[in-house]
Amino acid sequence: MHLKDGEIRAYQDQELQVDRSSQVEAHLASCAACRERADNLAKLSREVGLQLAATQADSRSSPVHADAGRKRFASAIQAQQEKQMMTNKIFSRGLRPVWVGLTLVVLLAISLAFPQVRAAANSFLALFRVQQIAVVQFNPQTMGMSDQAAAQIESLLSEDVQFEQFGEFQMAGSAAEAGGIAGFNVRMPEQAPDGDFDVQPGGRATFLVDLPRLKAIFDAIGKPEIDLPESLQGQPVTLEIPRQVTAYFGECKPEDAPLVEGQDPDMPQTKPWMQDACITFTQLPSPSISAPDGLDIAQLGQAYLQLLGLSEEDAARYASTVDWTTTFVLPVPYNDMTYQDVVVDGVNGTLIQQAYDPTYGSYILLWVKDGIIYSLNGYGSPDGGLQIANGLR
Amino acid sequence: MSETTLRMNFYKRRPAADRRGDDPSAAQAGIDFEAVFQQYWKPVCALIYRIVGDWAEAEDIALEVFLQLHNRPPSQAGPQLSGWLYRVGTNLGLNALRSRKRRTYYETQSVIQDALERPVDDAAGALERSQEMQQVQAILAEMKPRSAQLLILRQSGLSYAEVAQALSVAPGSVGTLLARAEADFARRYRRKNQG
Repeated sequence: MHLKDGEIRAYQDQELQVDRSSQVEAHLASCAACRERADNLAKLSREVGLQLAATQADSRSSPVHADAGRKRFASAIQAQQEKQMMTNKIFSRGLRPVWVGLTLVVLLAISLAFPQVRAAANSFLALFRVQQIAVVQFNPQTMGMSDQAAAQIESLLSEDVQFEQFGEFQMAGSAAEAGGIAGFNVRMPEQAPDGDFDVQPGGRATFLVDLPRLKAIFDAIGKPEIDLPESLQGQPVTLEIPRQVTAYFGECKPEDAPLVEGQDPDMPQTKPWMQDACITFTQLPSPSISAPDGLDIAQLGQAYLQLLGLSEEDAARYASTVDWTTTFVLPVPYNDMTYQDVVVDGVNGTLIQQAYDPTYGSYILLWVKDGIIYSLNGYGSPDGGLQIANGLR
Repeated sequence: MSETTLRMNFYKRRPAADRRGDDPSAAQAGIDFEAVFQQYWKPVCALIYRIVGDWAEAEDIALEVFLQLHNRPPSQAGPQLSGWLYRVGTNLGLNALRSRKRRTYYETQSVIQDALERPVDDAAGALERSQEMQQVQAILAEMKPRSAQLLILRQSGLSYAEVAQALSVAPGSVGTLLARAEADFARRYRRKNQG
């Protein structure tokens, strides 16, 4: 019975138990074949040791000190916390699912860039600007995003994405004032009562492409075959969300909204003050995404649909009907919601309603006109919302 | 988009422990972070230096290792902690090597520049050492990560038991894995020097 290479190797490193070690020694003394292998292994080990030693030419002259390292660590932690605070701020007001969604889109955009990326990928285009909204129905149960993928994306959001915020949250007393702060023409119905307008801060998220992490995300979403060109490493992808203006109709009184004990204030939640007599009206210039040139956007759209759980065929069929550079494809879950096309404010819009409760359930009326996204949210019958929308000046 | 669309809540909520604000900290995992930092900062830097061959980069990567320890500490503290630090350190070090490949041209240029600025006697030697180092790094970067980690950890003086612990392999299999990793390294090294 000859010795195994691993055992010989452990013997040479004096890593065997004493009794086993002497057995091996005895065998080597009596077995020429094992002796020859042992010699070869020892020679190989010496060779590799010498070659590896090239990596430590001056490892003894270490300039490293724990105290200096501790100081750097302290400032790194502080920077992390400041970034976290900024992240929290932007994520608050329930913006987070949109970031996650848009980030996914951006990731997919990058992932599909590779066949077309040119050697000098330093020219940029405005990749995406919303001019219309389309709805795709999906089944949340078959969504292609695992917890692991979501966790990866979340850590990408908190570590690789730089957030900047434009302006502070501000209140305005009129549409003109709100428009002045937000930088676009804020529209209201002619007969609208005086009221407060909320002007939300805008934001910019810059993502420097981090290939190893993207690779991990693609593995986690079950698309390990996506291969990214190394030329993308470190390239910036920028998402800009302009300031948005929200007006309230009816008995809303958002300032009276009580903080519910034990609830995560950052998470979207049912607000007890939002009675069926309250309609919120939000307007926002289109967000835009800029990314390295050469993206195949239709392919990106198809992958996005597949991630939502659509089959490849369904995704391809749907994707071919959409202009992905101008259309925000809103995923609407089956069962929970129904949607229909409506004419609103002189253009085609979408009305989404909670399927299980048409009497008190919420509805959302969405449309895009002249580069501005409008959204009306109320409860029960959508007539009130449609009336506001159709009375806009 | 407006908060109205968000209220539809498309995306699954994360388990509470993963959400911001209630991350488990190193302290909660029973780790005396200060003591660990003082004890392991230098060894971890030295280990990463063996891979990347640059002290400033080694310290940057070590900073990452300790940030991970702070933000997402391993579930068990105690003697396994050094193994965790070595594993994460070598992992990140090798990752850095791999993502460095495309920058090789510039590095070669800067090495030549460095060499030119040195006294004549030293220049040739420095250039040769540095090329040798780049070659070793290229091989480590293309090997199976566990094999590369094994070689680095062993080279830096860890016992079989420590290596086994850091890489989550059975102590009895370290000899076999090491022999294989060495053979693999040598084969790649020869191939590079023939081609």
